[in-house]
Amino acid sequence: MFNVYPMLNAFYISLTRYNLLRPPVFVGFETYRDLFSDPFFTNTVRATVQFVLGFTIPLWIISLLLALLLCNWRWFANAFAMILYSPMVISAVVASMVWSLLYHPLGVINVAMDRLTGQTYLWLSDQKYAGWAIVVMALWKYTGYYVILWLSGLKNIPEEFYEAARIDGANAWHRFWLITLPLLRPTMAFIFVISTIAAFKSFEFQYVMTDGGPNQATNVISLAIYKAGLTHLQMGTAAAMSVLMFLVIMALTLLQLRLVQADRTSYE
Amino acid sequence: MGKSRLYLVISLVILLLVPTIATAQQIELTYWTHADRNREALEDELIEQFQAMHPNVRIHRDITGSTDHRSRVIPAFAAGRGPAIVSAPPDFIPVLISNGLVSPVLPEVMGFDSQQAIIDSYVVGSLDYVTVDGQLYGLPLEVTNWALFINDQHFYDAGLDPKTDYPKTWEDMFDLAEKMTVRRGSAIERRAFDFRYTSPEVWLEPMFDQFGIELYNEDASATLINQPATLEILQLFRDWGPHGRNFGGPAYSPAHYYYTDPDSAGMAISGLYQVQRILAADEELYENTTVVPLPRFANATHEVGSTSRIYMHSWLVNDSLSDAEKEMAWKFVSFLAQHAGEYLAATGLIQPTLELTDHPAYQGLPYSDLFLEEMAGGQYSRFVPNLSEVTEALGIMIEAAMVTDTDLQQILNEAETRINRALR
Repeated sequence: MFNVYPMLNAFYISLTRYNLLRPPVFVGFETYRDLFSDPFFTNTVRATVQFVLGFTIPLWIISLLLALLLCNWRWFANAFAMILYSPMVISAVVASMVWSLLYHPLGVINVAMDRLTGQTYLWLSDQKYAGWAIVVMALWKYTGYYVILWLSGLKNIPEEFYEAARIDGANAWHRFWLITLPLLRPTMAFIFVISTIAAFKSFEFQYVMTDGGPNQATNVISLAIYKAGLTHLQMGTAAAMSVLMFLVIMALTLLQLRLVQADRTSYE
Repeated sequence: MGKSRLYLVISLVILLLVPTIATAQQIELTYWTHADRNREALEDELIEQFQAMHPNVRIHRDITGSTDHRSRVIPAFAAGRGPAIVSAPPDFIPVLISNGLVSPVLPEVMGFDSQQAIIDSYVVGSLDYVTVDGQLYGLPLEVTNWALFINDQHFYDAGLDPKTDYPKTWEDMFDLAEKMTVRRGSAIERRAFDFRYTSPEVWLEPMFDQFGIELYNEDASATLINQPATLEILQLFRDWGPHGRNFGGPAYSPAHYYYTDPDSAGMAISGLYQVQRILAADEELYENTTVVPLPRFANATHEVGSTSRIYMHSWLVNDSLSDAEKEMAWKFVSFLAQHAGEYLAATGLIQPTLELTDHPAYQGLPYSDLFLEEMAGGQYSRFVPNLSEVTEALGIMIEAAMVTDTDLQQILNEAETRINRALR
């Protein structure tokens, strides 16, 4: 009831023109048709895809590499993991404000760039850079969390498998490819799914740092939904975008689960 | 025994009725408004005075930051839980009025014979924005128009005199920017001037006026901005921004906050309220501030009365209140509005009553004449229901012209599409 009704209601609202203040007027799929022919929605899709791919793929690779590194470290592994995790405890809004200062035209990053290259950049107000600037910030904030998740998966792999492989003459790459990676599949599935969903739902960074600009380059779908609903009172449009986002996330999640679990490996 | 019973019954009836009567007379009114420290102190006093005059009334004021205020007003009205009285920002006024959620002004409880008598007690045209189909729906908490604030020191530093060398045209502004901008690499350390990107409509629409460009057609069902003259205006922004002569842009802190960082910008667009804020922040800066009208285009084809639009925050009263509550709510709003002089003195906000010009606060406030003269020649943005979306589209258009290399005609086409969709 608590899950299904709001979803069905959101779908119904997406078929209406509704400004919260007057009863909804049924318009069928007109809002969806409008969205697909709207250059601003195309921008939103572009900004969302850039953020989702730009954030998730490097995140999976970097966090896995760091986890592998920490797993094999004898000294200070826990301390280093804690340092990596620490940005997670800062609120996204505070982190966004701090990074806005770092990215300011006269901020620390530009001071360094000026010294190194003699050039400064408008990180948050040039559409070539703004999306990537937010991706870098998001990676800084969330990598530590995913490192911890990978670590928990890595620590569940029995040491005996590696010992047996070593006796059989397997090198480090073989051990990673034939033991670690297959046995990390459940962790991998979990990480792929939750990081993709988190990326699609990203809102605070874009809201605080750029408000979707410059020229809509960072107007990701969650922000577009918020603006359509609460700023412009177009609940039908906001609901239609929410439904589309839901369908895309659902499809990607199923696809990821299918890919990750397609080749189930068991060493039991 | 019979008499005793009768007394008992009468006593019981009285006992039951007394609290009912008392409760019926007690009126609780909620008043939602956005934060403004100077205004908060003044309204504390006014609410206390009003409650002393009406002991059966309690005003529960609820103050939130501008952003929170904006995000909760409409959902609250939508849920039937809107406040009794709200100070509504300009883009919410058309929404609340056109959806029938707010009550027309009740002149009789405010000591006027008619709504027209109220309108006549204000500067001509100043209540147009809250007058719809002949009905008056609100009284102004704040009517703001805009001018150019100059930090004199920046002019002196560039060997200029702010009293004579201030920019009369946008072309002058570029010449001044050439002399006054201080750079570090490609970044700007000190801007000569920058636009007020958060409210483009107040300075952009008068730019359209100077070339005879109408933002909307007659019934506001479509925009008419897609014209060659608009491209000339967009070219100005491209030339100003990082892809042009790099004099500023939305990457930097808003220029009108220069009173907290006087080195950031030499000139900014702001309202009369800024005079009070500068005074509170920095007395030396206050002494070194000059205010002049916003520049015009040297090649303008149309004469305009003012180079800025006017905008209003209005007190509105919830239409779902009972008659007694509604009357008391308007009485309270009327009481606040009778203190226009105090509002001006404490906050720099103009409530343009005819009596205001005689008030010592008006006569003692520098530049009040300039703002009122500009106001007389100015006008409000047109009353359209989806104003916030139109404003956003204009903002994106300016930003795109400034921070991208996209063809200006394409930017204009996209803005046209967006505005037309909002107006549909």
